[in-house]
Amino acid sequence: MVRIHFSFPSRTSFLPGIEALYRQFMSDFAAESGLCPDEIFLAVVEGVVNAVKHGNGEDPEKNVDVELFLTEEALHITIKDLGKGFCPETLADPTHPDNITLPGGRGIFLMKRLMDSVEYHFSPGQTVLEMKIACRGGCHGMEGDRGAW
Amino acid sequence: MEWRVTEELGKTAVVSFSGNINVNDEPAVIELVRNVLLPKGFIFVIFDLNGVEYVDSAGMGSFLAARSVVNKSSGELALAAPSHKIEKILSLAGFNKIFKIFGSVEEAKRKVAV
Repeated sequence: MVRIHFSFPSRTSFLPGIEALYRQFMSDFAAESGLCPDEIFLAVVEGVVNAVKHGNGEDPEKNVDVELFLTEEALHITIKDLGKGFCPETLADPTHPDNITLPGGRGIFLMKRLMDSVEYHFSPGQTVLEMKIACRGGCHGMEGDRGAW
Repeated sequence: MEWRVTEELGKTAVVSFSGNINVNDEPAVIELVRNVLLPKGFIFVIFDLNGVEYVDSAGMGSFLAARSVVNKSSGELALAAPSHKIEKILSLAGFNKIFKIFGSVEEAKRKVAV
């Protein structure tokens, strides 16, 4: 088991630094895991951007916390912000003809397609996103064939 | 993200991107079309994605906004040469239903260029 945690002010300008940390973690500890680093990173980006923009409102006084926890069975990703949450059930399908040309609304949709599980947990003053993907399961499509998207 | 106009053919411009196209690049993609290409009369635009590492949902949103800008000038925006992984993400988001996506820039030029 190996774990990395990092915390950063709510600015999307930290994305390159987050990518560097993520890539180093995956290179050092997950090279033989069968995980697909590119598609997982896209899910991380979507979760982080949501936390920065929608959760913390890009307030640099509020941090976003990211944790990667790798076991022999799975990679667990936790992203925390200090937002008041939202109702995931109200999110529209961005591929529906009525929505497909809308500029936003694809982040959580992509996360759900790229990871095995995506769960949001809300408590007063905090939103926690937990994502998980099994090791050695192959890819969802970007880097191989894990099955249908 | 970096971009440069690599070809100018009549009313058509080919723009080659490299790096990542994410939330930080969204305004630049739209400004590229609105403030650089359209004033020069390029209403048919081909985005060459060959050098792109990943496109996030905000990057995809910027493609839609750019498409809307050229459509208002009776033009068209096409995507070309995405890597396998980016093509999968675009398809997942349904972009293959609303964009013309070509396997190569040459193919895009044959089908789109005016």
